[in-house]
Amino acid sequence: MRRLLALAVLLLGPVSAVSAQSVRVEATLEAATNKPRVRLFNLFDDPQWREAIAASYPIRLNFQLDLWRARTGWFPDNLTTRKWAFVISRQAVLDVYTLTTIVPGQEPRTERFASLDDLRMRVELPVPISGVGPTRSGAFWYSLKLGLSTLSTDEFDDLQHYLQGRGGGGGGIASTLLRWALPKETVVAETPRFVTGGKP
Amino acid sequence: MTPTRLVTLGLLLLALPLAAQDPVGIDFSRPAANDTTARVIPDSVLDRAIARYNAAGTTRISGTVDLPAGNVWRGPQALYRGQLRIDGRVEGDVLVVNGDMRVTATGVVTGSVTVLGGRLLVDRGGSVGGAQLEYPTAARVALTVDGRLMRQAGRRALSDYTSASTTFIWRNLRTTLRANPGSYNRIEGFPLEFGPSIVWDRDERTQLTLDLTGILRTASDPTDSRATLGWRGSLAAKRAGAHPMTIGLRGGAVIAPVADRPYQPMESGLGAFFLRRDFRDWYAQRSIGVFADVALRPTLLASVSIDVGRERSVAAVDAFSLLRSGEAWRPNPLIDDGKYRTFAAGVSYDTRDDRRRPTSGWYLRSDLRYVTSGELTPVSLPEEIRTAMPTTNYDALEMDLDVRRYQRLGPTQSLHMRLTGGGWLAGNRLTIQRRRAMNGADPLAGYAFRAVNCDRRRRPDAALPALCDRQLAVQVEYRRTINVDLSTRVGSTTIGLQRPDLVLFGDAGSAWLAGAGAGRVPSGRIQSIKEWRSDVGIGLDAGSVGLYVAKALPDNDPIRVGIRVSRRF
Repeated sequence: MRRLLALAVLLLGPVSAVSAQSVRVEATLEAATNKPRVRLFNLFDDPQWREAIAASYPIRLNFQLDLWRARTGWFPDNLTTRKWAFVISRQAVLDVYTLTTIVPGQEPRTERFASLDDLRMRVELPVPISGVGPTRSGAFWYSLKLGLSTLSTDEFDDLQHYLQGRGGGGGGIASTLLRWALPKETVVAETPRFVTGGKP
Repeated sequence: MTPTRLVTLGLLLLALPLAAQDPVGIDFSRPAANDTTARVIPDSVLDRAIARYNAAGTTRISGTVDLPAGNVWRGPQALYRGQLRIDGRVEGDVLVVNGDMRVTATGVVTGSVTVLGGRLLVDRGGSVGGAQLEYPTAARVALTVDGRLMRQAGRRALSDYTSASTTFIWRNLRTTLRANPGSYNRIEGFPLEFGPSIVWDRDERTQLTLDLTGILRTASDPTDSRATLGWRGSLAAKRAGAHPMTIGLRGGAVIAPVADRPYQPMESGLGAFFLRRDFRDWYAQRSIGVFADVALRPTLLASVSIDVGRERSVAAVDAFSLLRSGEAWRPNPLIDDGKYRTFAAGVSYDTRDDRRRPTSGWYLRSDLRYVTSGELTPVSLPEEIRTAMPTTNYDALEMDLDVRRYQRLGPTQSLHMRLTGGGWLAGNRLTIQRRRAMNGADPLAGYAFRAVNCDRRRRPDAALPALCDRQLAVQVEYRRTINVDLSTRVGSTTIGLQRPDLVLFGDAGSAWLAGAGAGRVPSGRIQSIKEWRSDVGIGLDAGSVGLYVAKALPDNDPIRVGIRVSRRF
């Protein structure tokens, strides 16, 4: 039992406070329409992501926005879930930065920027999200989850599939180590509650 | 770089996003794109572009280039990597690969313009005499030392980080030579897998794949129950479209796991390598077969297969393990050797939001297998475990079922439920390699390995074979993400806990012998719930690793602590 606890402590590792320069995300509501707006902070102040971009690793920002309806005395109702992604990369040869916006079912949109500052200005702009609002009355709020990684979940899954599909438990060791070794982070935010259609 | 060029570059870089309808917002009410395949550069287009670039008469340029007003270029022009601004006149075709092009109000191109891996912008007043072709997706090409353009091998797959591989490309044939470690176990040690994978993109929708893998087993086998070398191969044709389909042939001489498979493969491999605990049993299989699958909907996949093969017992060897190297390995149980034909059909339905860490959606997987044999040598088992087995004219029907529901209860909490089971349905009794057990840890975290294995012999087999006909389990877990970040960074590695999940769970299940007679459950029923084993527990899941503590109910088993490197389900 003691050995197990020691192993757990080793795995869970040392403890430290979150850096003031950590990535942060904010979800707010537009005053008149209650349309959600998403804003990202500090991405380029965080050394691990700044270094990843400098090393031309593409960074994936996977956003998930959920609309919740409050229910008295019971768990809230998850009405819609929308996902989109930003892929930020640096084209070393051209020394330009690209931001690709991927929205399911829509053509990806790529923007190019001559400098990191230009990219920062764009990435840290508040992003209005349309087409996600409630269609019924009640008290609602949005929750936002942002997963940052240098690799997508699918890429991990492909690796898992590759290693396991050929009987690869041993390969799973390597994939687990790989998953531990690469930068990844999840940050969350919620909007204030809002009411539509009179009293909920 | 001159100020003019800087301005040009700035215009090109900034004008494009500004020209977009809504450069910042995300609009989910927009209609879906009609043709998502338009993003990909067709091979035929790429081949033509490469040929044009490499043609003797083509003028090749690169970088940021401006053709000023009043100037004329004659003949085909090709730019690789850069930005091209045309204020003057081009008498011929223009090709831009992995760059952008702008034809300004005074610019004229008498021929066609092809832009691959970039954007084409023609200002009002600008003129392009021929066709305009634009593919924003980057073209996978590279320059050779003599300045010619060639196709580039695909981006290194992630699996390349855990293996060695090299890829050759010739026309539409992509050949990858690969070597990687397989699953560690007490039969083979580390099976080193190596061989070529050849992919032929016949056209935009059809792909042929030939995989050949040699298997070198690192642990020696003094009993000669299996060879040092094995192999596995498949030849498959994949057809894209509204209902993607795959058909193929497969075969191999492999060490395969029996039907009772607790834990994920990687966990079983870790247990064997580090702790000398191999949670699977194995047999040698030589087989050849055909298979097909079709995606009826993006979430619905159906598959069928027919395999013919020989299966026989193999012995555990003295494979290396990091700890407990002084202990003997658990013996590998004997199986019913023989030649088998397996007809299988399966269906899966998957609406989960995330395959690795789902929080909402359904997952359903069901497989039906009909196994026949005209030549088998069954292991002798007592009548109370298995009635007499034929040595010819054998047939049995079995199935597996896995139904899961992931239900979100709020932004940080969810409820997960699972019903899983499988086993004998009809016909002769199952062979040993297809029998089941109720396992501790997975799915019942509060119990020991093969807690219920239906071995009723006075002196049970030390190999702990799974001997039950059927197995069924129900799992429920409540997860709540704790909003704490107790982590630190060492270089680019984050160590510690970031928003871990607190897991409260309960499991119940059993495995039993089916049929008429004492100690058996009638074929048309499941075992009485009163006889099921159950447990409750709590865990902390940090994503890559989870720590779980469970207590069996109401048995007097001790509290069990386990570490999982994947989700319980």
